[in-house]
Amino acid sequence: MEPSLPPPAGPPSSDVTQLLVAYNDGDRAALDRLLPLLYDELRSLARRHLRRERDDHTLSTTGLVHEAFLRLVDQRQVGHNRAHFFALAARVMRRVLVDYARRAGAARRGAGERPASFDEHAHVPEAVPENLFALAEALDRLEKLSERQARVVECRYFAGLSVEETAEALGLSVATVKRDWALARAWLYREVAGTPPG
Amino acid sequence: MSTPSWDRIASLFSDALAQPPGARPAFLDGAHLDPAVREEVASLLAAHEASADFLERASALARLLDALAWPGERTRSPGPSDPRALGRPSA
Repeated sequence: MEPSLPPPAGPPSSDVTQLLVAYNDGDRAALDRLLPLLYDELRSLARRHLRRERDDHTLSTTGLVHEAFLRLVDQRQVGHNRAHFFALAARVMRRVLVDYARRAGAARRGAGERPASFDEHAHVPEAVPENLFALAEALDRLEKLSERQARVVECRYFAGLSVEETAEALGLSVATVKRDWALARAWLYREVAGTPPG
Repeated sequence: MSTPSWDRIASLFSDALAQPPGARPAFLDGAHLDPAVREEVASLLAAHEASADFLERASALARLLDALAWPGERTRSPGPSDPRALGRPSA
């Protein structure tokens, strides 16, 4: 068992915990403060991990999200906050990865969409999945059909949560998550991959 | 665009998926659907069957995260890095 990492470089866990509690109580403004904190933490965690385990890392998106939870949330006050944290972190992981893909795509094209945070001289890695940007756009469209199904995709794909974890995070039944996931996968596949055979 | 309701499509898709693959066309026939609805559900079922493990593995995402760590990237909000964490051997 690996012990949790030392106190985070980011916000104190009490801040995030309090914001989660406030969000849980219906404070929408808390969400606006939470999401940037999670965004920065998840990006910084990803970078830190990859520098440390450069050669044989087995970094997973779900591992990142769980680690962020351990670092950011006061474990004595979990309760419902645990599930809410995972749902929000999933939303943020989508943003982290899609933002990245957007920037990488802009850099590849040499267009001017690059935010200032990107190193002008950095090479564009070939590893970026070509279809991630298309997937992100398709997911935006799916969200208009069913916000719930888009949330399921965030949890399952962008945060790597299991069906059971997704159900808990979103307050849905396991059966609903399975149905939504099957439909969302088929719909997104059709959107991204073009006309399927048959 | 006169699209049928998404809830209706979703419900039919789930019901059809509960059938064995060979029985799905007959299931759709038996439901006496509007042709547009039937076509949409059949198209989604075909996509489901063709999609294999689409989105089921996070390997592509892991590679993307790998790319996040490329050298030379400036941090937007340079939070103080924790040297203890950086130096920790992985478990």
